[in-house]
Amino acid sequence: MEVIIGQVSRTQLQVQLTIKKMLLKNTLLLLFLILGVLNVWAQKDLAKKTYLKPTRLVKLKIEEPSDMVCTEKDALFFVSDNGYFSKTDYLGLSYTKGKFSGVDFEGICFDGQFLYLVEEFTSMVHKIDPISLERIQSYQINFNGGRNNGFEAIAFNPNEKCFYIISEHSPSIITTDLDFKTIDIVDLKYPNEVSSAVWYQDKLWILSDEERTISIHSTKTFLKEKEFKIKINNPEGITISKTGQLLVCSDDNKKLYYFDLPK
Amino acid sequence: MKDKIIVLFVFFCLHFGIGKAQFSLRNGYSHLEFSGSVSSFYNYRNIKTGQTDQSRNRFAIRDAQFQVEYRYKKQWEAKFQFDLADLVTNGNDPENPGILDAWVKYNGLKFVSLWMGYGLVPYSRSNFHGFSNTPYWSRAEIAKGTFFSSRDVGFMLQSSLLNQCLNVFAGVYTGLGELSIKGINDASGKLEYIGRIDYSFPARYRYEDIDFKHTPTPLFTIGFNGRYANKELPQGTFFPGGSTSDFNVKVYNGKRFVYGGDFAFQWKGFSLVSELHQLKITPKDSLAAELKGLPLSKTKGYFLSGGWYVQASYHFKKINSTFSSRLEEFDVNDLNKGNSRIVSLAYAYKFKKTGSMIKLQFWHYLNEEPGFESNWVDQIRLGFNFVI
Repeated sequence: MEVIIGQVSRTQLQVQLTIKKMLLKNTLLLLFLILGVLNVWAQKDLAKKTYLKPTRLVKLKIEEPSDMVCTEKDALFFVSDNGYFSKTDYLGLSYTKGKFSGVDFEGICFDGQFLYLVEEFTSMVHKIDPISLERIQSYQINFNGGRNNGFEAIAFNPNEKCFYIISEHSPSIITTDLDFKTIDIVDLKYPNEVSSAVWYQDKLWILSDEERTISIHSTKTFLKEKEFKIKINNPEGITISKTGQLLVCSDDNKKLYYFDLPK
Repeated sequence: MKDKIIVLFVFFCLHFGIGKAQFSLRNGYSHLEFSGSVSSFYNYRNIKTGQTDQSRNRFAIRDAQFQVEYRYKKQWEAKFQFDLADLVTNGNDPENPGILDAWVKYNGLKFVSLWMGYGLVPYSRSNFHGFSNTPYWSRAEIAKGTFFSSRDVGFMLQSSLLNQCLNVFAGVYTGLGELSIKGINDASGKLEYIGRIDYSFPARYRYEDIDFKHTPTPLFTIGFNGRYANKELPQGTFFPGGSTSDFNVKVYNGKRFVYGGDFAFQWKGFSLVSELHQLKITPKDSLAAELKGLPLSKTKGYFLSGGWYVQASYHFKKINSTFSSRLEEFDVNDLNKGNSRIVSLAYAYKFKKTGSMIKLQFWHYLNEEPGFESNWVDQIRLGFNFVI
């Protein structure tokens, strides 16, 4: 005699259960198959991009390094998310802390005479004397981005005598004159996130943490012209040395990576 | 079936604007930041044979959140966040309450930050994971606020060392979870003590369950946490309504010690997160229903509750898509035979410019603990989370 549970017989319940188990099994199988195909496709695409390999790396003493700039052959200036800046030699060994502190410095550039530090929290740019390491002047930039959406990079274009200040997510490039008055604002089409930038030979080199790329952009259209992949955890700063080496620093790893300049 | 397909099609046709999230106002070193989110979904439950309640097959607004953050230099932080979707319905979903944050933090000391107010408690790794960064609509049952609270009112010390690889938290709270915001305690007047320590290697591991960035070197993190409350109620008094949760273990008339650990790994888009928690509850009343009338020699005066989950995910950068699966198990009472086991699959499409997401989650019960059965077997939820 068949057992009746509610309005359904035990046999019916067993059939329903078997069908559901089969459905679940097949759904999982299909999912893994789709994942496998997508993975092969994604890996194939990655292989097409050029990876840069570091020739050297050094451990830094700086906490949360967020950017750096090379001012002369044996001098680097670093800024930190913790709101201080410091001068080191080319290998990051010697260490002198600056005499001005802020909240969170995210970018640094050099115009040949002074250093310029951009702060995400206040949307300010601070002009610093690289010899005395003291603040000379601060400029307020009108930008209302929130946390992790404020200024992340600053670069100086000596040909056009202008600064580029770039926000982090959905990045905008603000071009300013030497007094930090806005000349132009352009939405950057790529990458979707910016960590740092440096001007070199009339191109803007942009580092992206989330994309893990260094992309080279026209300073006229800001469109991407070339792109290189890097395998660095949380890359935050980029500069090009006087000897023509590409330098990238990692915030989370507290390391400085040296690359041959890609062509 | 046809109407369900139409509903889902209409839902997919909802489009997303492209904008820039978060706005701020500045006055020198004082900074006020505004942000928010809206999320809405369609939910369908495949109910058990013989069950008739299909009220959960519906469209719903999960979030209509607004958030204000204040900072003064590095020293002071304050946050206030509320959810209109829950406030208007007077909802008390522990995973998504009406008031989400109302706290102040002082960072002026060298090695430690002081936190006071109402917000997330430092227990369970998934408590730190933001809703807008996960493909799931809901956390695993063990971590969603039915076994232990996610938020409370209290005071906490927090310290981050070794380039944020080591994080230590210690706090004292009212102990009534999300209900504490009403400014009440239970009749025992006792507090809850919570602590957590986590360490990541070889670099800082952010509290995110998906590797959106495709970390180039493998990252690991391990965490341990515990919480203790001795809330023995005076005779004839009860906990405020809604504080004990459906499983009656979230607060308890007696001693309650909760401990657990978590592990997470991520590399090149793949991520794995796992948590394990156990509650040891010693009822004040030796005849408590949870002891099932068993002799003291067998129960030793306490019962255990708890569970675990393992979640594996992969994020495809090229198609901005995350695929994830999760297996979870929970046991409300070890003196009760059987455990509940659920498998979940999730997919999310993340909009690059805004961080907003379309999310799809499927749940399926593999097992159910007798006495704690739900009325459904499978559930599917499709919707969006729009970040402002």
